[in-house]
Amino acid sequence: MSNPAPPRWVEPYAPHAWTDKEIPDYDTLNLYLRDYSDYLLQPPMCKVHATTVQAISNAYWWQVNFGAEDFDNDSMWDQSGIITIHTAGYYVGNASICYATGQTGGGTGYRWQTLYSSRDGGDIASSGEWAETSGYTKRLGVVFGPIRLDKGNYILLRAYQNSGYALNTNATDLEFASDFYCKWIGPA
Amino acid sequence: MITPTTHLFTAGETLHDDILNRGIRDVYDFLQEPPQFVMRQTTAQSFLNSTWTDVTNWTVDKDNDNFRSAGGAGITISTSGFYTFTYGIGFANVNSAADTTGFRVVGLVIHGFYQGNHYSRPSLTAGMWWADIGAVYGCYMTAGDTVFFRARQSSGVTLNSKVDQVQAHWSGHWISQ
Repeated sequence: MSNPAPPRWVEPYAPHAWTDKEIPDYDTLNLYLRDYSDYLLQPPMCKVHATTVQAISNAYWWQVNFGAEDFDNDSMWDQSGIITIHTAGYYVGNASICYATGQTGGGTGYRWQTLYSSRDGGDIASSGEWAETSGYTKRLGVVFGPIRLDKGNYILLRAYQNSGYALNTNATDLEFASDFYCKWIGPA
Repeated sequence: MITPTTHLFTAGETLHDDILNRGIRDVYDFLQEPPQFVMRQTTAQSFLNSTWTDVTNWTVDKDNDNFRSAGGAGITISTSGFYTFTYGIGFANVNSAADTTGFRVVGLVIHGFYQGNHYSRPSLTAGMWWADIGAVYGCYMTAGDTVFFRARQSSGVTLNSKVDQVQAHWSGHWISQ
């Protein structure tokens, strides 16, 4: 975890209903005003990107791995490609993969990217297109959400290509690094 | 804009206006309308062949945190935090083979480096479809950072951006401390 943990969040979400002539004590004020406010100012969020080249075999689904976190305030990233949810809720985000240029097979076949959710037990967002040329690096993205994820669920990016050859990703820098980010937007 | 700081209440504390305003009201005001900008290009711009070019000629529809205070093509961050940027551009047809040649790309220059580049092939038929490309990118920004939205094309000739039906657009939104 590279960032401070998010403030405490009462699950299930149950805001306090103030009553007439109620004199709230400091703990009530902190729990239902301060902590919720802190939480909304910095809800659980994770942003990671690839730092090393990864080979994607021909006609085989691969989990896309990442090597560094730019932001992770809820210990979601597992140091590889799995993002585990510790705070239930609805999440939005996007993920992408970049293949390297000039590879044999780089201009052939199909490219498919999906986001897998353990809560749903399958892919919940995807994109795909035909390869057209191996002469440039193309970022292939998947935008997702809002999707419901419970505590302990995980999500990951999977990639598939059928160029006839193994294809390497491009991870030279942020310009061409595969990446992933998600953000909590509301309670489950 | 200053990111508000919540107040830690203590036992026996007397609530006064400053605590309630700074510790509660300002927080909700900020969350209701965090730093954000929305811009679109209303005057066509020329893009030389195989040259990264700042996208400019912006009409600003919203800017609540002096993102455009420095003028020029880019934006400046005043409030630190995690931002998402959405950006895109369409290149107008020239009704020749150039419409189907090369690639089109958009990217952001953050901390001096290109980030979040998205490439696209143009139309397969000259004059038929505009080469329109867009992207979404999230990044932690620090107050004082500058960001530029740049585009590039390799059609072999100079292409203009399209400003009717398709407009270059760029928006940014603070989403977390």
